Amino acid sequence: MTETLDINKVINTSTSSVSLDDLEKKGFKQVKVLNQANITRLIGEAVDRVLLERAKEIGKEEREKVIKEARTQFESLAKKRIEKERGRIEELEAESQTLGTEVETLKKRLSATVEMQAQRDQALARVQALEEEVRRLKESVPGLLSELEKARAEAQRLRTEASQAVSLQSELLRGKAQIERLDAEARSLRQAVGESEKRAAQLEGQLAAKDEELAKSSGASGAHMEQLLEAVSDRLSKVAQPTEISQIMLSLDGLSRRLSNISSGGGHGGDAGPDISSDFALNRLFDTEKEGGVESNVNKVKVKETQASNVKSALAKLKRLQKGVTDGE
Amino acid sequence: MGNSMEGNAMDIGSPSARVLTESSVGFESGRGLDVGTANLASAIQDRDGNVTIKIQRNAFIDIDADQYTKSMLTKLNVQYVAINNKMVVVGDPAFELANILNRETRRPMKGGVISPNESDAMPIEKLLLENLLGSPNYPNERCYYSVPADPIDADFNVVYHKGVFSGMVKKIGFEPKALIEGHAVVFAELAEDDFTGIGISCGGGMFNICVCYKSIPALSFSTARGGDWIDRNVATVLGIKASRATAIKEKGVNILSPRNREEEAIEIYYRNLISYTLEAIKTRFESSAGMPSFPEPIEIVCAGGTSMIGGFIEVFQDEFQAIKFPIQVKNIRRAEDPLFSVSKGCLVAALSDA
Repeated sequence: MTETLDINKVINTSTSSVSLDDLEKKGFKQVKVLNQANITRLIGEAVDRVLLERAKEIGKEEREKVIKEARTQFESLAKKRIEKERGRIEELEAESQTLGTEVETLKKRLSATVEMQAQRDQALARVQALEEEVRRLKESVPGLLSELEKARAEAQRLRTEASQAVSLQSELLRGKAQIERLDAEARSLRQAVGESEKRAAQLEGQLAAKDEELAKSSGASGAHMEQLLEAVSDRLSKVAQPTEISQIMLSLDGLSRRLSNISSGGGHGGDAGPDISSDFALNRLFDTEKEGGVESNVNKVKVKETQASNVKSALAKLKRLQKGVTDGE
Repeated sequence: MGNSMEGNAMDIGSPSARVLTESSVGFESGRGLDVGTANLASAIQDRDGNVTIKIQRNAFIDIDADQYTKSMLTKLNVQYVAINNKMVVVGDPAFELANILNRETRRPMKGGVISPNESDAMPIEKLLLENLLGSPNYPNERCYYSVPADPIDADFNVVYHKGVFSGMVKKIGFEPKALIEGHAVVFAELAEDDFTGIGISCGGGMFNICVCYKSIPALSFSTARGGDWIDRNVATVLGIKASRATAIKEKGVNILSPRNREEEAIEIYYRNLISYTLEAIKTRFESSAGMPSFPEPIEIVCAGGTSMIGGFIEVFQDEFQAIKFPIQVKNIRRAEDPLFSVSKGCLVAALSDA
């Protein structure tokens, strides 16, 4: 044999060392270990077995050739094996990376789940607190209902009292109005009586004057005097009668109607209008003029004048209409 | 009676006021007087049937004056009145002066009746009426003067107003007779329809409406918006004086074709006023138990200065179409003499009563 196969070297150059921690990190929990010596031994045995079989047939030169081929074969096989192992390692590394990503995802999900759990716990705590509040409120409801009932009863009592007060006020106002009306009637009657008394006094005066006149008149007959006295007496007695007061009232009504007519304003053609110029104190309106405090050239300056279309036709028609003649008659 | 819209187109007659007022010969007995918020107008008829109208803007303005100014005003044919050392220019010159000085005129009347803020203007008002009416032909000659009807959309009546003007006309020497403004429009404009129809006086302070059947008023009322309402609102939105707004309005606007922002504002408020008035009329008609049912469609005639603006009748007809009017109407038209209708109507009443 010219060249010795250094199996240890071959193994050392063709393999790489990986620590157990790294392997574990890569997900290898169990590995099969093949001792280098065993490998060497196995190779040797294999070679020896081959050689033994072929020793009978081949010479030294050929044996060396076989050994060389075997070495080459071995190296090729070892290389393939190593490459395969490397591929396997890379796959495992990729797988390990994927698993690492999954681990990260799971960690995040776990974190989110933990957070949700915390929120859920808080919500549950709030629900419990609310349930506690509801329970407490439910417990207070009967007391509140009782108070409400009392308040209603109080309100009803106050309404009743207010209604009674309004009724009393209304009665009071009616009474007051009645008193005022009676007062007015009393004033009116007093006034009427006063007027009657005045007229009676006047008539008495007239009577006295007539009496005196009659006394002076020598030609007056007793019968005539009696008639006169009777007439005056009759009038005096009538003055104080209710019928006279009624006449006064009727007269007042008449005045009232006239005032009402005046205040209704104009409404018809040719309304002469009430002669109320004096009522409106027109003299007061023109006081300035009366005092001679007005100076003007109004009458000296010509105002605008124009001829308008004539009104003959309208006037003629109106006159005919006023006479009761319509067109076509 | 409403805002003066005559502008410069009015033909001013030649006879002087003095000739008319002093002449008691040649005139029929009876006078018509339109007492309007914006204008005062008198009407008189001569023996030949010619009707003469004298018109005066119902406004004045305070000015500082001395003897020289008084003299100049007379030479310039400008009427003035000096009361207790206070001087006012009256009539159209007051209006022109207000526009020049960018001030507001003072108005003796507001919303159709005597203004509560200008009660001290009554002596001036009496002087203006004296000038317009002149002296009566004979003592207590009849003078029909216009009064507004009670408004349906404002809380006042015309009693005081009517009483004061009655007294004023009486003091001038006439026998006063009040005539509702819308009724006067019917007398002046609806003779051809036997004095049957609706007369509307579109005035400065109010719109006066009168429904007549054969010269008898069936329903009279007023609404408290008129030309002044437009002026006030236009002035507010344009930031100008109301007198200025009146001047723009009277310059010759056609509300169917406004040419600028000012005219657009006028058009908007005119349309609103017409719509408002028609709705008020409709509501009043529908609520009136005494409304006559006319056998035939009737005529509506619009008079007064506020009706004189271009496009008024067309817009009125437009707005009329938009509402369901409770009375059959055959025609809507403007009066023959819108600015003088009320005074002419009063004259017709006076002549027929003479």
